[in-house]
Amino acid sequence: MIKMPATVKDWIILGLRLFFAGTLIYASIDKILNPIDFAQTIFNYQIIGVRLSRWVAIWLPYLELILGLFLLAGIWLKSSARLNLSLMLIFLVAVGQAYFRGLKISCGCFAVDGPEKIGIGDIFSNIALLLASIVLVLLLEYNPKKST
Amino acid sequence: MLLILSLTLVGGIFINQLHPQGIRWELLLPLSANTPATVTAINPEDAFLALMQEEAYFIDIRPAEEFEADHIAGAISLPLFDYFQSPDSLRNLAPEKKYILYCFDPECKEAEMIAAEMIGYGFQNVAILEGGLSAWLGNGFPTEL
Repeated sequence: MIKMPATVKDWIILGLRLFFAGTLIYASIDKILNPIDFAQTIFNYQIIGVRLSRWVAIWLPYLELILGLFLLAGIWLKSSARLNLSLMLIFLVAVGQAYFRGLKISCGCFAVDGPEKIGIGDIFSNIALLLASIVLVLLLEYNPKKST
Repeated sequence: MLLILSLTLVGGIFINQLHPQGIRWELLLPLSANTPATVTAINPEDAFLALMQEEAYFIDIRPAEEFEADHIAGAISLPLFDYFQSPDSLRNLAPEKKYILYCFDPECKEAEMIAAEMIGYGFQNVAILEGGLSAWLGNGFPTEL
């Protein structure tokens, strides 16, 4: 549940929760609506094979959606935050390897067939998201009032 | 954490089956080909030679309306979305023949995906047209309506 924060730390936790909840829920919508295009986007990263990319395409958007909703509602908060951190790390690795391999593909981060190609800005934004997710996990770990 | 991962996977599979644009179950099952074949690239000159000598079949990955506007002579239309709706369309092709896939643009990730799928089905000779239809036209090679 969203409670009124009592300390600065609680305010930061609430802000990060709402930020990641909004980001994850928004990012999941286009992927849920267009699973075929999203499977193609995943395949374009050339990390996993053609069939496995489809499994990820029907799973990842719902993971993002549920994580977003759980972060928003405060359900299994620590576990959700850890999974969120794992996702941000995976996204950074995927985007980073595509950039450094010179793949001319769209990120697919928020829209499955966006026209923009992966650039250095995507790397920095993913690093920022990863750092923010680490902060959220650390603050929750050292906050005994929060539930798991 | 495992519970969240499991629930979202099961939920994703379930909703995908109800989704009007969901990925069909047979396109999720593992491919079982034992062939070591790999997807190669073929330049427009060699592709044109293959067309003239009737050595290869062309597969056009573009949307149907673009195919109807113009395409390489004798090409088979197989838009990506149509393939996802009717995966049997690939299985009806003879795996021992040579196939050349193309889009319009030089970057054709959709063709790479379909080619990987064909290799998985046991197709031995699958290539992607370098530069796509734009390079084909740039070389002055003909298309048909």
